[in-house]
Amino acid sequence: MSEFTASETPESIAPPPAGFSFENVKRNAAISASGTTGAYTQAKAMKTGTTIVGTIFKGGVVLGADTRATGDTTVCDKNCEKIHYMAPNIYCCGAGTAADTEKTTELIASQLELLRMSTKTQSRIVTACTLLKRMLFRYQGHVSAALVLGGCDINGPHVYQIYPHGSTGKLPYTTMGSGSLAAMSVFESEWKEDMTEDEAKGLVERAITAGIFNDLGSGSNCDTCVIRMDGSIQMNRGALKENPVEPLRDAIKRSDRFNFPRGTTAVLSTEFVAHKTKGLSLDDVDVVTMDTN
Amino acid sequence: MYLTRSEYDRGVSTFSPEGRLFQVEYAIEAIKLGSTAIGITCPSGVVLAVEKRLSSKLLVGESVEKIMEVDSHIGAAMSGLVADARTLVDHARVEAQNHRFTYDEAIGVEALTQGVCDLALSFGEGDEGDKKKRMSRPFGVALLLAGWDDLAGPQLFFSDPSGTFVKYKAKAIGAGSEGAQSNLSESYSSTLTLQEAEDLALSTLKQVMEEKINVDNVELATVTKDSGFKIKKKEEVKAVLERL
Amino acid sequence: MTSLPLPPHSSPRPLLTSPLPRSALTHANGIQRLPIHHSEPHSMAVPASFDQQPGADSIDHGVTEAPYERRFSPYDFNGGTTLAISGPDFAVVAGDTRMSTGYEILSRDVSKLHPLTDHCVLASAGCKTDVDQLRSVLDIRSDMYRHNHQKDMKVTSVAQMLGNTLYGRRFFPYYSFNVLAGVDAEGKGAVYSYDAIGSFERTHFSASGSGQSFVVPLLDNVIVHKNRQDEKRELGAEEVVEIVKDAFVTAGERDIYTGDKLEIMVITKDGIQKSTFPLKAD
Repeated sequence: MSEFTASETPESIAPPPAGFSFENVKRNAAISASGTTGAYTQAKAMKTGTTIVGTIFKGGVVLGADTRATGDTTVCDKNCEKIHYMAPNIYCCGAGTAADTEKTTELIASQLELLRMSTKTQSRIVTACTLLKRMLFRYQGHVSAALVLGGCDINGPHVYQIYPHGSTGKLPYTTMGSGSLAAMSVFESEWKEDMTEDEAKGLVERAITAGIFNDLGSGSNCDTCVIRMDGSIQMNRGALKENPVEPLRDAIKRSDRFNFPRGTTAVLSTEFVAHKTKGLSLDDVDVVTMDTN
Repeated sequence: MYLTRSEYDRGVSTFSPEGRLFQVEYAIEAIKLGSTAIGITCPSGVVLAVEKRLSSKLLVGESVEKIMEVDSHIGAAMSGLVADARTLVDHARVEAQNHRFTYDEAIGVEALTQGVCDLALSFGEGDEGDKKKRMSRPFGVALLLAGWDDLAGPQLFFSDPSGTFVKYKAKAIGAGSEGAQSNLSESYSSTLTLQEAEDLALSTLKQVMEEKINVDNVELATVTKDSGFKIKKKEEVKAVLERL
Repeated sequence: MTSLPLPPHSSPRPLLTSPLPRSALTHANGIQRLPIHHSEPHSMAVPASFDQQPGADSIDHGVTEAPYERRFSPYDFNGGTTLAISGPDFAVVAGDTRMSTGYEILSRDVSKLHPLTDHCVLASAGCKTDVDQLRSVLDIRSDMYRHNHQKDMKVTSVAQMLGNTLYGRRFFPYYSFNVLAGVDAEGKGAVYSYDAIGSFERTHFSASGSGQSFVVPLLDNVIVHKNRQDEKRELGAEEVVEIVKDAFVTAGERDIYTGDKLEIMVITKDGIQKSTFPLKAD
């Protein structure tokens, strides 16, 4: 940034420097240690108590995930996306703290993009895996991302599992998250080598469904993503929707107490104040219709 | 009475070969020495009346208390060893209050009577070396427990030193009980009004008392649904006596 | 006899690893403190946990540098929501049938409703073993009452007895969140709400358990008519049952411990009428 712009940009609205800010770590530790309850409790992050799985089949990889996000014991998001884009030929399922899985995959995805630009070659799964594990190891598990990485490259279809501390494993099939045991029970009883795409998709859907119904951290729908050796991708949002709430609502004769006629809420006072921001607003300019010819 | 005294009248926990517990029977005899007490039920309530023996002109009549409140809806009249009755009534009061605390309602009259009899029956209990103080003899007193509850309306129970209790429409206990009971049997009707029951109670007492009946030597109490247990004031007793 | 030498205090403790993050385990134990009715705004809970560990909230993933002591907790939180609403001549009481621990479902069909008399139902969520014990204590006491007093206990009496029974365990409470519903001696609907150690009051409606925070604001508005200017109207038992279903479907959407099946009992002077309604199983 040049010295001209720097002097004119207030610090508060300047873009944050790259990397994490640790400036409040000591303050937060002191607050925690003081044992004060109430107003000073630590902020809780949204977790994805999750079922995520991945498997290879004859012509590629199938990844799967449920769509529930929780905060404590409350469902925050009933249909969130847990299969993240890494590269055109690589996708990654994330479990753990939602922000960590999203930002970690985004960060590594952009690194892969830069790498592809400089090398002019397709990204390899092992590269993505190495970049991810380096980042997670650096933060010693404080970045809570448990990942299932899958894709196809010159060496064939691959599935990796990556733990939050940075350890990894290369496996033909794997599960992660709080529903990993439920999902793995399906894989261990039914998985076989050289499955067809349909067989693999069905297996992944059954594994995720096992997590959805038997693990309280997982729920709602099943998303799948197929990455084929021919380079094509099939992302199935809501591949399986076994939890519709509509039939339940339809079976209820809804009380008219749920209808709120105009005036139901008391109006204490009415006052209109024109919105005025610092700098320019629409009031300050003449609006001219755009020439679209 | 029992002319042939034997070893079997000593302990309260030893039966005689004929199957008797002499100490209990003796205790029941003690009641026949007591002043007369009468209880009469009628559809609108229960009446209790007792004779007070004022052995000296210097005795303050009000200090002799032979009808006691157990709870706001239950009262007890006694005959026999009045000191023993105090223990029983104290126990009954605790039972009644405990029931209120536990169940947020008034205790039933029969349940209360059962609670009193549980204590009456606990004579001679406990092993040797038992630290808890046990009763060495049966209570020498009989109670007439009068009350009103939701379950059965007005009720009168008679409990004796054996720990037995029986429900009566009308019952007399104490020295004059034989004459009084036969009078009650003749004059009782299940349709008595409360006033008629009061009259019957005092007229019966009048017949069996050695002294002349007056407002000082009788006690009168009623239990009704609305007013609960009430001991009659002297003026009220006087009004009844004037009707006789 | 010589005593065995104790291991040196500084001996390394084995590191116990778990497939779940430590924060999930703490959370798996459910609410670590018992919510107690309080007349003052501060310290809304008394400590009831036996396994509080330092740094239990920090991100850990089963690996920790700081040594800590493992302790047995006599309490588990088995989840679930209960709800009761009183009407002029009825009371509706309901509960889901899911029983869980941590992220596991232990059963999809365990009742949270327990009829104590023909006119009185106890609904309890919390630690199932404590709930079972409490129920059998109350069953025995109400049977004894029936024998001693030749009648069924009135709802008011059951309410008082339950309060005393809970307070009897003031310093080692039954980990149960109770709602009592029934019809009283006059035939009016009666609902009592409790905290874990016996504070209780008769209320218009009450909800407790893991989904209570989703249900209470809804019913405040729809049943008690809070924050509404439109006309209030008396609700019949059938309409209340439909509102209860709606409330539970909503709670099931957002509370991970509420689901599988809803059990509803309508109590009138004529007795108890039972019905069920399916909930989502995820």
